[in-house]
Amino acid sequence: MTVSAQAPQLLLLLGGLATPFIAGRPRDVLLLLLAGLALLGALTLPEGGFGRIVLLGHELTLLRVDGLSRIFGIIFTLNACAALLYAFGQDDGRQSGPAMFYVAAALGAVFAGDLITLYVCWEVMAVASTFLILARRTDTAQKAAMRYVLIHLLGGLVLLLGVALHIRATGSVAFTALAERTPAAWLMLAGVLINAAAVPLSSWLSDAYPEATAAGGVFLSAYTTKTAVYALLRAFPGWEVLVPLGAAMVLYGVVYALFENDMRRILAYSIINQVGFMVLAVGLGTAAALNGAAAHAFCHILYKSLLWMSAGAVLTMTGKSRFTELGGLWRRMPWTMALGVVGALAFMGAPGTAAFVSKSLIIQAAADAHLAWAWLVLEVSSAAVFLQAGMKYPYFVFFDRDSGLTPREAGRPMLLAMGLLAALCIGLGLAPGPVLSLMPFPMEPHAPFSASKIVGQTQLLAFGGLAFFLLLPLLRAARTVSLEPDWFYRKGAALLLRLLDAGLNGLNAACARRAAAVLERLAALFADLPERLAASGARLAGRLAGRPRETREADADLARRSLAASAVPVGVSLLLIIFGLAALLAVVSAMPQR
Amino acid sequence: MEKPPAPLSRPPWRTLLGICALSLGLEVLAPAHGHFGFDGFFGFNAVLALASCAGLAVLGRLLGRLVKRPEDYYDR
Repeated sequence: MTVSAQAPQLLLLLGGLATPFIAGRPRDVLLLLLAGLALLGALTLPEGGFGRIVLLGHELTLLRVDGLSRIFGIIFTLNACAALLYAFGQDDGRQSGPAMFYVAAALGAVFAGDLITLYVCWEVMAVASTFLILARRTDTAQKAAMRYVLIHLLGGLVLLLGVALHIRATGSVAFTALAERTPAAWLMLAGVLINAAAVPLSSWLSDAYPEATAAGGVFLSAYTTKTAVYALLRAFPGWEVLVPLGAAMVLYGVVYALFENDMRRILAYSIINQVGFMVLAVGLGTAAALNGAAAHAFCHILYKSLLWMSAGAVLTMTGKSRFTELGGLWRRMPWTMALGVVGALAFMGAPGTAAFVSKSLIIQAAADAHLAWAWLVLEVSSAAVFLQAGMKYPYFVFFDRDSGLTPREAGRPMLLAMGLLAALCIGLGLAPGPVLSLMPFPMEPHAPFSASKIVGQTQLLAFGGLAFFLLLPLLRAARTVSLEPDWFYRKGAALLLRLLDAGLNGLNAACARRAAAVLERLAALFADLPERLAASGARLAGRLAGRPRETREADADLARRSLAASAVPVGVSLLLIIFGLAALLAVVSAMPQR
Repeated sequence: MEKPPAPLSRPPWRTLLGICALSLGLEVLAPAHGHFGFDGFFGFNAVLALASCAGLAVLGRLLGRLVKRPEDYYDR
């Protein structure tokens, strides 16, 4: 088998292309099989650059395999397997087709060795993912999808501008670390950060992801933001601006989760929060921090997919997603609850779960960089997990007041997929060797489990949990929507539309009125112009002849009436015509000759 | 007819307080190493957790007045 045949993105692309032509169980089996092969490919591909083609005079590398692309390739394909298992039997081509293209494009971006391939995959990702939101087929989803794709196309254009300027300035299409702070690099960074849901353009995530289908949410939660984290790790390690930006994302996710009443929107905010950890770590730029970011992206996909799966299962079985309409589901959906709680524990970074290792690596890196404020932000966020997806989600959905809903337990494929991810969350938490061995940057040996760290984290979480129950009355959400920076374009666009409506349509109407008035006046003028001219001529002739005033007026009146009644003598008409022609001739002959 | 599930009415106070006490007890055996001078004292993580959760919950209440709107806000 050639290396290209093992390319994970190619296998998934094949699945996407095959989706319209088969249906039902065979399709589900095929897609799962292809995802499994893609995972195998990501695990076993040899290091190096493959799939080189020349386009517009630039050599593109479609498959660049190294430590950094491998860790993302593995988790992307692993999550694809779990998500396809989750969607097994749902037989919705509107969802599985775009999902395959979406994951294929994300893998294409991660394995891209050049900026052009990266950009193309970036755009395919944006378009394919939009269909996962549209597949929900509600009015709200449709509107959210439109806002989502507009923001991503904007991000793509900014990236493209950066890439084009970079290629023009350097002549190189290589997708490697950018050391110089050129305008092109800043533009590329801005494009990437839009996909990373960086503040202030983060509200697209909490706006759109909760409107996707149950399985769509699982796919979305993993790929767009993590591809952006990958691009940051690849091109922008050590860019200091990422430290405050990451910290802002961490806080944004925590604070907005406080107001939220929708279970999947809480999970969306926690993505922003956790991606903030990774962005901050990329900004720190040390090997330990970069490894922490990569490892945390890996673990984050595991537990965040698990959480989205459990929330998706609740949504599928109850049709509801507001905390105020849910509650007390633990008896009805015990497996979904238990697996969701494992996801929540892993999200908290509880000792014994996968994220404990990766999260503490990032926090330690902030401490080692002597950035007390950044360290404190990360620690506060680690304690505040209870106020967001860690506790608020499972508690208000599965416990708390009984909602009276009587759903059935989620289907077997859903439970199996959640079980797989839960097992990985715990397995890699207890034995993190595989994740540590995948870390791409060489660093000092890292001891993931020190007694003081485990005790410290346990204490943080135990008292955080205590605080949650003490503060419970303050944490109940109501049916509200929170204003986010997208207010500016959501309300702004409506205002712009109204302004354009009033301005342009008003201008249009005013012009029409004015033109009509002028035409009316001209029509009135020309309606009796000959008669008036005839009357004036008669009056003038009378004056030249020295006739009295009364006679002149009578002649003028006669001339007017004669013309109106077409009773002008032939001789006079002829005379007038001759005069007219003579005048015309005079004008023409007076014109300058060439 | 099937009986509706009983609500979980009471938070698990005992378990929680037990784990809190245990974590404080274990800190005696495995004391934390501070990084910055202000974070090395006994029970720092407990104080940090309580303070940040309380602070954020109150902040959420206050900020909520500014940013919360009725659900149909954008449809109007």
